[in-house]
Amino acid sequence: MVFFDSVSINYITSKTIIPALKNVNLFINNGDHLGLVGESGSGKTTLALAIPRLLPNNAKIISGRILWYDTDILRASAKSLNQIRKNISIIFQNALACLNPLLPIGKQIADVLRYKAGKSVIVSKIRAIDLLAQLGFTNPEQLARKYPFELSGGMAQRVLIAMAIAAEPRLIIADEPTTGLDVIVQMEILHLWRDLLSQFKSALLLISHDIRVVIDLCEKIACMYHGEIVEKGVTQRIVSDPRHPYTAGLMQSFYGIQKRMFPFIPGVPTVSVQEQTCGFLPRCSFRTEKCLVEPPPYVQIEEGWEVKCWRPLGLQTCA
Amino acid sequence: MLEAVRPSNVRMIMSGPILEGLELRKKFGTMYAVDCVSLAIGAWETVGLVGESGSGKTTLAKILCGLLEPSSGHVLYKGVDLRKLTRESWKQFRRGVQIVFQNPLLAFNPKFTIKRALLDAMRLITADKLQKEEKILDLLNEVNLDVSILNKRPSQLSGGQLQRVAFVRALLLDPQVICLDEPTSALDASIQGQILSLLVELQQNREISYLFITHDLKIAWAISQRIYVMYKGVIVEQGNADEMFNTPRHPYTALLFKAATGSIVGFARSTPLSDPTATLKKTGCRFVALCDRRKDRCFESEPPLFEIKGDYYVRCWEEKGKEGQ
Repeated sequence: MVFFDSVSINYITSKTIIPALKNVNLFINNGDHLGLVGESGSGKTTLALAIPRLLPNNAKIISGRILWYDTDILRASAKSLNQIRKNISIIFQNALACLNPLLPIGKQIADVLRYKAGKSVIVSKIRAIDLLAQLGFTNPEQLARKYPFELSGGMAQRVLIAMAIAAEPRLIIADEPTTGLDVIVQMEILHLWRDLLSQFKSALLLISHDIRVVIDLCEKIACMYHGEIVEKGVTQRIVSDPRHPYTAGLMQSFYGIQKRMFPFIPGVPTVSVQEQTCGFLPRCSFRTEKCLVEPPPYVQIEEGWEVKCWRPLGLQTCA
Repeated sequence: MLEAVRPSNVRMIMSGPILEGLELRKKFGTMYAVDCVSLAIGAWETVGLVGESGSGKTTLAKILCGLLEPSSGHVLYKGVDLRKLTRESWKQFRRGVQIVFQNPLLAFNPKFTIKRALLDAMRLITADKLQKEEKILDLLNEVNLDVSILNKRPSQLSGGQLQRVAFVRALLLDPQVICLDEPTSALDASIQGQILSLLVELQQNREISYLFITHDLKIAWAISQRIYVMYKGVIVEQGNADEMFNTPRHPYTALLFKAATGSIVGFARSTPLSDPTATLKKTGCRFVALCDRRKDRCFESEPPLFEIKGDYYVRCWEEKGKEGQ
């Protein structure tokens, strides 16, 4: 459905050029649930925003193309772009900031139905209330008349989910949908997602730096570091046996706390303009001399499981 | 990979609490954000304070740090009521109790360089500028920050770096207690481990106590010796961290435990969605709407804190019969 064909995107500021995506190849199929993990600044959001072409003005697409079925999104006309956008929903992190403060939420959901699915005023109004009920609100009619400021963070997040699924899009992009929420509310939202995903056939691109969210919701995972996808494949396989040093570190910092330890990846992510062979090099504890000279290739571990590393973990003995 | 070890309980000096809150209440409008909470922080210990947003964690921390005046109740610093402190000992208290906030970007003046922000914090200390700068450099070294950040402004640093600067700022005054209000929740997962192990390391090198506020029971357990769980302004469970993590007794703690450790499969099915607008009877237990073992009496009167065993308390009627076990 969506195909990233060696896409590179730079952000141009008055002083510097910051590479946000470097040669990203990614394929999202119909009905896929793909989790995108990585630290802030690793290019996750840039990748997601590039699909509906919502990138800010200073983002420059250097090379590559993004295909939506057969249409090249980056070169599509305004009309066909509109058609594509009708099939894509996005949920942003700060739910309250995404809602219009001056309109009741029932109206906002109905607007989505009217514009995207072409429903009539009355039908969309009724459907909006149905959707709210579906999302676990006990009193949907009353809620539909409320304004965003009357909602809590968790409720606003659920309203946003209602808007996202309203028109039954082919692709839902969720950018950190649970960050900033309490643990209990987080679990409720994730649980809701799980139920909804089994009902709808939409594909999901879920962005998070919390690997647990991805483990629970997505069959596939892509791990980003420094604008590159360093490891991608089936979630269960990668979680139990990560091959890239960064993915392994991320797993350890997640599981370590359960053993009362605080393992972490030393150093901080660097955003440097100068070309590095491997973005993770300064923080990597497994680097070899080869890493300093040449950028690592993609190594295929098994079908659909790729690692961008000279020395994938667990393979040293074979090499 | 580095691992951090917590200071052993053997090394803890038990000489009465350094900072203590007694039956603290804080009223905002008509509602009590903090309702009759007593809490003690001993020397060289880490106390976890867990609860959801709106449960009054931050308000309590602000009261304990002297940033908010409680509506009623007392805050004792080394056994002396804050209201009775002399001007001189109030300054002592201000130096001894520091607070680090959740979002470091909002905790620094964006127009000041880091150097100025840090020097500003040291106005309470009588030392010449050279000595002060030396101290700043020592601490920066200890938290693994480069000297070059001193001339930068907050917006030029990453969240993790800035949170370290916030620790430096708190440590400059040689405090005895630091209140940490969700110090890691604004940070990435891989940075969170760095910050937590740094905190433990700093504690090992000097005798400071932490009040660690979080909504994640797992992190609270990992870093603290004792945990207080707060819900809607009251403490619902308090006691030893290990014991609470192994057998959470209050249904709310059990829910937090499930949320922090379990998988989402089958999570929300047994519990109704937490709706903050759910109306509650004024008199009953505050948790009754979400509780899966409520009885009639839970609607009628609020349970007191029952002492289950030495220094372990639970606010639940169902635990009443288990006292002294």
